[in-house]
Amino acid sequence: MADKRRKKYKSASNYMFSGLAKSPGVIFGALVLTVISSVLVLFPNVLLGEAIDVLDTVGLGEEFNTIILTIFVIGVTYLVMYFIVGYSWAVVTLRWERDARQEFFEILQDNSMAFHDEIDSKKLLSVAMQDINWVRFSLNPALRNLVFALASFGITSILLIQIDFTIIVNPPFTILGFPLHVFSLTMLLGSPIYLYFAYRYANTIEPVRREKSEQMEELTSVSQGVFRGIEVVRAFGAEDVEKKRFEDVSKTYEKLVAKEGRLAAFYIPALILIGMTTVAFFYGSYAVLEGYITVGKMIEVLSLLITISGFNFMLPRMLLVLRGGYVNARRIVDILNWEDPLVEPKKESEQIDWTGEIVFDNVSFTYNNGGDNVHYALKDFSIRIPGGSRVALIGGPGGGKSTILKLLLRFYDPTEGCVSVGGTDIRQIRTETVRDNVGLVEQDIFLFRMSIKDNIAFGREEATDEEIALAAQRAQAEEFILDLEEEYDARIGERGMTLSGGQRQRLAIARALIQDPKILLLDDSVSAVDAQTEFMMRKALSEVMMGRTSITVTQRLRTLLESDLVIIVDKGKLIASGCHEDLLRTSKHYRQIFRRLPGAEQVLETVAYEGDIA
Amino acid sequence: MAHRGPRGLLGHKEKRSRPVGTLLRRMFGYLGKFRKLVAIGAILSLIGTVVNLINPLVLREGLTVLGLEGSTIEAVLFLVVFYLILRILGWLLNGGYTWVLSGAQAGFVQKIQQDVYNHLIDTDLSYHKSEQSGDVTSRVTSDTESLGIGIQIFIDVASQMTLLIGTFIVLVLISPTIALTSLVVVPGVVFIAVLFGTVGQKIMLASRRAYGKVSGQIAENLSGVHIAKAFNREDEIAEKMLELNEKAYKHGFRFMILMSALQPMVRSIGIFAIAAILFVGGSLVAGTAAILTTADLFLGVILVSNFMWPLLHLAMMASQVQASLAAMDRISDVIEAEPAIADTPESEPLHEESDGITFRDVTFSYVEGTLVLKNIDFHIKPGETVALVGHTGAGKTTVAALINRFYDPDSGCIKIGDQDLRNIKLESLHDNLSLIPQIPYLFDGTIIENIRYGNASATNEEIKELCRLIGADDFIDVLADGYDTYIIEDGKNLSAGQKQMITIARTMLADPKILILDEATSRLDAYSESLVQEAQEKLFAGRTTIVIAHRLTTIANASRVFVFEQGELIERGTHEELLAYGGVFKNLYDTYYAHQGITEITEDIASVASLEVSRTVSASGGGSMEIPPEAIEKMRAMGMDPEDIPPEMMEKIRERMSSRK
Repeated sequence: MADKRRKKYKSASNYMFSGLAKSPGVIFGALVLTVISSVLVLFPNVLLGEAIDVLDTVGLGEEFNTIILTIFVIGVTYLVMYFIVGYSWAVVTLRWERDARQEFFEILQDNSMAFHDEIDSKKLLSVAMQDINWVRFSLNPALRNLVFALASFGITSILLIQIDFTIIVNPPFTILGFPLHVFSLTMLLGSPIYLYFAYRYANTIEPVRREKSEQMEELTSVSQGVFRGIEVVRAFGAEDVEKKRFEDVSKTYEKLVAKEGRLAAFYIPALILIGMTTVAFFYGSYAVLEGYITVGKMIEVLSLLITISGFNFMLPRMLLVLRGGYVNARRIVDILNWEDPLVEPKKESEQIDWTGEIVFDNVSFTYNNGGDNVHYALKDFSIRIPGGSRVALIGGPGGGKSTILKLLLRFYDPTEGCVSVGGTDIRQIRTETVRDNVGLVEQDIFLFRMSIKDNIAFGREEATDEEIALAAQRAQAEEFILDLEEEYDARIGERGMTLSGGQRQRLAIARALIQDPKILLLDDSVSAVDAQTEFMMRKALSEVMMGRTSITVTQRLRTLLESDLVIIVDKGKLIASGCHEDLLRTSKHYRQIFRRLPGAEQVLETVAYEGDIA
Repeated sequence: MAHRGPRGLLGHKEKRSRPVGTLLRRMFGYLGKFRKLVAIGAILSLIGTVVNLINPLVLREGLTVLGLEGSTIEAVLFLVVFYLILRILGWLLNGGYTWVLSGAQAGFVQKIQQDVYNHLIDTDLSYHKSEQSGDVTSRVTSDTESLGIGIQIFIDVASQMTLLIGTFIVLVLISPTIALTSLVVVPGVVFIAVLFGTVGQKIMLASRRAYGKVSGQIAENLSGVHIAKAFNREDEIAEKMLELNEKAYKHGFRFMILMSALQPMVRSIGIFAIAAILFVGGSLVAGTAAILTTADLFLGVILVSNFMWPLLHLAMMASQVQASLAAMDRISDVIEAEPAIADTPESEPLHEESDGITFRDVTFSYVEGTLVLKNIDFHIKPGETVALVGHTGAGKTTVAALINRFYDPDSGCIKIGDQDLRNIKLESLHDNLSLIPQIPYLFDGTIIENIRYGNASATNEEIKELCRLIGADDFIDVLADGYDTYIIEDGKNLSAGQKQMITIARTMLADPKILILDEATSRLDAYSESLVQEAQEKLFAGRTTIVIAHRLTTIANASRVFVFEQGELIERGTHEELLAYGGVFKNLYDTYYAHQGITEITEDIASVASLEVSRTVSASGGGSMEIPPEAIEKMRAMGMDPEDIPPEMMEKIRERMSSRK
């Protein structure tokens, strides 16, 4: 994945039409068929006029029947043709939607953790589902219908102009001797004005509409936050505050909804079309009375205009969606074009000694990229960890413990300084290789909604059932797994399948065992377990630590005692490091922390403080 | 018509528990002050419909005049002007309708939103516990929206019906034969409606489900992205995604095809109708005994399309109406539920001198028949600190919830000072009482806003001072934006310990008279925990405190310890007294607390090990086999000397080792 060259989109419109551009042949064919379809829809109006003329002159007969039959055939042809149009558009645009969503997801997944820290996953999800859907919607049906509507306008114009030309020989009106083609003028002036107002309408409404949907998101997030934290709200008696807060949000929403509705009322393009129809009505009547055209022609004109006024309803809406789709596309492209600070090396170092020394050389790190005041999570941090050692990492919240682990997994690169393993800067190693060799048992264990077996096998895809069972045994997880009704096939998170913290941790240990990493990182902050669980956990931990370098964030006294190296960090700085005995003698800070641990008093009494060496 | 999303046509079909009449009455009852506006809107809409009905008649009149001998342009001009006026009037009426209705609709939706939200804020906690927060939220968002659309649909249905019936009457007046002919569109429209109602509904549901799966998978993958990265499993996850995506595409494609077919089907039915009317009408117009003019024929053609669209609309709206009714039903569930816990006229604020907590024979159950607390009796003196201990599920958290009056006891009573909880104003109760819950919850917002939730009037300086005191200042300072760091998704960017620190700061800032800590420091390291404890001792010295504890040090610091087991308060006394007593507390102490220290660790492991080994040993012991040297090494590391292990136990360990192979 890591080496996947990311295709960047130059612009939102580029993104929007990338799908159509992928199969230009299909889309071109569909466009041609769309135009033909609109001809077919409009043509019965012409035939209607002709039929009436035939009735007036010839009466019933073959000619009349032929016309009716033609109308019928046109109906069938149109049905078939437009179905093909719909089908082609559906194939192209839905495929685009599918691929766009897949691509979006893969890019999100490839982005480094800095991205995921920064952007709310709720937003990402809604972009992945809704925004992409809206872009597709703006192509199909919006663009498709728009093309159809515009083609209909164009064809109606042509038909009306053509009527003008049948009476060009002796035009009813002239200006300075030039013939005045009223139908042509009506269409050629009216249509652009109509479209201009329709576009202006879409342009005015779109921002309001967007604001409205953002306000809806706000409303949802406010209510969801409060309902999830309802106990907190009650415990602090904040009901009235929350009601007021909601009222503000929902009143704003109300205003936007009303505003949108009101902007949509009195749709001016409809008025333009009314004007056009009226002019045609009057001029047509005049022309009929003067004998320039037949009643049939007049009927043709009127029913054509009535037919295109059917687009009054659809056209503005489709324009709106198309314009909205553009804004959605911009939102998507902004996310896709996120600049990842983590860069994969062009050529990976070969011969990496994963069992070698781990060195943090003057490492500083901040989660804040580009903010005004920079807060360092880790500052000028240097340590050498001998290969194969057991390391305990301690310190208060925000001390920098989890940052150290994350840097070792190359979730991030240091802001300054460098982290190396066996003499190789890990920036020279691809993230994939790093994570093959560095394993993690995190603090809040994340398990997927899959079977227990699959969750353990998450450590290594090709693991056999035997290997999985063995890992579960070594992680002391087998016993509780076998107690489950479906054993290894029990699915996490289904039918009330919940696991205790201790059980989840042991599954995570099994997962790490299967992976068999050279370096193991453990964030072990589980407290309050009974002695038996504790015992099992310790067994599991020593099992997993065997034969590799391990770094454990811990508060267990035993772990401190058993470690080869204890590292104390505070406020992102290294306070002291050394083995337990040495630290007891040399570090005031360590004694202070150690004193607070239950049962530590006795140990402290036996070891005297000899003063800081440094 | 409101603008709806791509899936706007999709309504839910769910079982309703109330009769339609009740729901409709309630829906219109809700209109309240908007009733007038909606009525005006409806009237505008109806008049507009009638005007639209007249328009084609004027056109026919014009055509008729043209057909007469000796007609003048003046006669036509009058009709043209009349036509223009009618069309403009129709346009104005329609615009007015949209204008009036959109205001009323928005106001109406806001009113319901607020009402539902307020009810949900006050509703019993048991409701929130039994529902997913997302579902609760949709009561406020999508359900109210659906009601708003419902109101509009009713007006639309009314005007479409008017149009439909009016059109048909006009058609009959022109010619009963034409009117009957126009009915040829009915089977077509009915076919479309049925197709969409049955197959369409099914396809749509399947498609929605498939997209729901994609969405769920993306959500899960995003929250587990660090694990996917840590284990290099991005490719497999992407593949799984592709599979679901492909499925969604297939279902979506079917749905799309159906939707794309709708338009051509309706239009071609329209075209067929023109052919039919011409065919039938032609014979009426022609011949010597013409009973129809060409103008009538034209009118017939126009009216048929007038006739088709409302028919289709009506058929399609049925599912929308269903959806609105279902939404009203769900909203009714919320609104009808009277909160059991609310202030009564007799409620008083908590008196200044009321302090100390008394439980008198309190019995409580969440679900009828399963008692969680049984006849609990205790008195906590003002200023006393009491630790509650017991296994998971013993009822400790329930005690905390009852004191907060999240629930009322089934029987018995709870008092603060001499005041029964049920007679204390809830607001005043919560002002004086604070709970730090087991699972920290943070709102979306900055850290300082979250802390300020405890006391809205606290200054930044006060907040920072407090954070310094409890040792939270250090970690907040190194976050991206310090105190202004924005917390998202319940603090996904913070560790569990950090979240807990913030909730502690929040509660301490509230400065309550009575403090309840429900394992409030369980996720902190011992050092941070001790800082919090020191701060608590300093700030809350002499206040009534209940601590649900898991750490030995906390328990030892309490003035008394209450031991709960299966909903009963079975032992009480000081830590030393209870240890000496040698009952349940002693057992708890041995299993939970003792191993937290360092000194007991070896003895502890040995005893637990024996318990463990004897419990899990398999009946089918394999052949004897030596304990592998690494295992011996491990035991050494754990502080056990293999030489000290009794022979029977060694045997059992061997058995266990062999049964593994």
